[in-house]
Amino acid sequence: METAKRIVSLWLPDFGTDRLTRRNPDQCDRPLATIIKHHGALAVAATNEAAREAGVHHGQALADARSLCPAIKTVGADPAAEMETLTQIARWCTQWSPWTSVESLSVDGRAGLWIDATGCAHLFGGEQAMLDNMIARLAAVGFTARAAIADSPAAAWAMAHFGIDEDKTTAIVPEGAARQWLAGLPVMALRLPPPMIETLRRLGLRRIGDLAALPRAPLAARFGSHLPQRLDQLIGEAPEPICPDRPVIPYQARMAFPEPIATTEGVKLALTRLIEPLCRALERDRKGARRLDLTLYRVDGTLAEITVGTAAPTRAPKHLNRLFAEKLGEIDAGFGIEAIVLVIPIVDPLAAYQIDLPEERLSSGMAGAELTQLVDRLSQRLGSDSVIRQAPRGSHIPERAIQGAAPLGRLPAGTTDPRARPVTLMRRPEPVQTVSPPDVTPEAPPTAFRWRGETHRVARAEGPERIVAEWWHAATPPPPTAFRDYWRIEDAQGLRWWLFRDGAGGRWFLHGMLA
Amino acid sequence: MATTNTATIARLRDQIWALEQGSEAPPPVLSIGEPDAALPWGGLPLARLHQIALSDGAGLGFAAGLLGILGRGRPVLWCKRRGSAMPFLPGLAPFGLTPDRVITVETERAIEILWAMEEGLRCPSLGAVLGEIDDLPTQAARRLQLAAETGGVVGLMVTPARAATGGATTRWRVTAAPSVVPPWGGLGAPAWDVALERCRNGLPRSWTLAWRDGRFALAAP
Repeated sequence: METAKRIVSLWLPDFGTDRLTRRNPDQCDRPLATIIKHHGALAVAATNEAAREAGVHHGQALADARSLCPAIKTVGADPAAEMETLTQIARWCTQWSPWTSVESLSVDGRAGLWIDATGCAHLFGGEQAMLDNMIARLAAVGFTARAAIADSPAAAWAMAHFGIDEDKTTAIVPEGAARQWLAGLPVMALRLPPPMIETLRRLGLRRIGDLAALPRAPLAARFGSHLPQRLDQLIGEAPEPICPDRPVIPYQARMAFPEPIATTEGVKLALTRLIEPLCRALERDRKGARRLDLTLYRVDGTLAEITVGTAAPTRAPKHLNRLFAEKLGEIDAGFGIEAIVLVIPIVDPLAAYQIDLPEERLSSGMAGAELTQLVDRLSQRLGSDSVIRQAPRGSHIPERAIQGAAPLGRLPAGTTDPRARPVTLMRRPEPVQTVSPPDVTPEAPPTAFRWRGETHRVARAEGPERIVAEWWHAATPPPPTAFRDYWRIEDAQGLRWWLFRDGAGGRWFLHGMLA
Repeated sequence: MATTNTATIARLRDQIWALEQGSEAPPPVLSIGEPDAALPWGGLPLARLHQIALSDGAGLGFAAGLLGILGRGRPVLWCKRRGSAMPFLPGLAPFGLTPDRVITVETERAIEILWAMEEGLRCPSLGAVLGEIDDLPTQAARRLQLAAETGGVVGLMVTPARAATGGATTRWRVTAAPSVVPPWGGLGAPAWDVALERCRNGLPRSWTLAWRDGRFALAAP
């Protein structure tokens, strides 16, 4: 059964100026405007309330604004920086729901965000409490906001922009009630192009209810399909994608702190409390976590993220806590952390018996829980590409004979060359200088060779083993000299070397050490 | 009279042994071939740390042979610094180290090798842990020894010959030696000059050992 969607439209009417004054709260009451260049002249973009009271408005020439309000402070608009801040806020809003996105950012400094809060409100004590929480937290970081929640983005948007009373900051449209609740709103709330709104006004269609009562077909014939589509979106009958498609993550938990936490220990403790119920949920579903994302929300509106991956599905709370503990030490709490959210976006099936078994029974298994946990800890600290196995790749070119593979699980199938191979292989063959008596053919092994400043006299040699270029991989046939003649060489000291002579140039290279 | 003395000495030796080892049961011991006779346990004990000092860079094959035997078919960890020569699995197959059970761990810093080894030694699912490191301070060796005893996993510390001694249960010094030349010429089974330099309750000894049929045998029988 699909539950109804619940979408929050967050409106930041003074975003353009709040962004500038939020660090200096004492300047909020002074007139402020951002300035853009418009047709070669400077014009007002965003304004704060004090500026508007003085008569300054969007689109006004800067000279006019100055004459109306000589005390006005002006700052050049910076759309790129504004967008960056807005995107940051959208990410910061993931403390209420993992699905957030930027709705709009206009030149006049108004901005909007979408938050898909389906199934999230109960975590905050209901929808009203959640919306109040949003407004309060945004206010704490310096942004004025209005928030409305409804079944569809269109309804939430309409409500946030046109349905909230002067003295309020939030509005709730109950499930399935969009049609009745929004009937009284002006048609502007439909997000229609201004010319269309003007036409509707001249026709006497001022309220959404006026339009909704009309038959759809003539409406579409007169105004195009856009208008009926907007009406359908309003009552949630036509879909309106607001966020990039993201899979539903059933495993998420959050915790807000009444007092910001400033120590790693405090975060660790809180995390323990989040991990345990999630592990119980995983156990119920016979799943194990493969990736966990922890987001820490700082008081100043910034956030820090920690991602932890596991080599095999796991739901052992102790193990997961340890994986995070390694990374939490690097986190800067700043002025304090006010909320944390833990999400498990990737899970894999994990049979019920793999947990709650006595340790000694696990230890007999080859890839028991302990080994998985060991690999996770090593990968977490050293990087997952530092903890690998080498899988045979079925090539007889030595450097292509193996490939990095996951440290656990079944190795990709492939055959290993049965011929004698070195115990260590150099990343690249290194050239060596060779000494050969004048009377031997160049194909014969040298009598001595010099590598890294040391001369080694060849006592015994075995070869050549000719390895030709894998012509079936090449677009054009390689030249007949594309081969290497490998020799196993033992020097007078007893060290054993793997050298080859390059078929094309006749030069000698060292490629590895034999056992 | 002579038999009584021998029996008394044997009993006292057992008592000293027990005191030295603490009250816990002695660790399981695995035969490695020819050197068994020189080892007081009759083989190499698991759940302990062993040091393999390489004189001239040769002898990684000797370490691989020990790792293959002591790993008993279980997964093993091979820890090394990034940038040093990478173990090449096709060449390790003769030592019983198949690609599916060798996990290589590369670290940026030397201290991380010790950390990775310690984590590995505490993991009873592993067969053995090998680490290549430039030096083995006694303090680090003690930590690893303790981890090996706790986890029951055997540790092999591969160091240069100049590295500090101490802390490990046994110390072996390995030097290059000519291979056992077969009658038809060429290179034969790999061989090394191996000296058992340090071994609690054992006597220092040295051999020229070759890897033959999955064990260490005398190169010249």
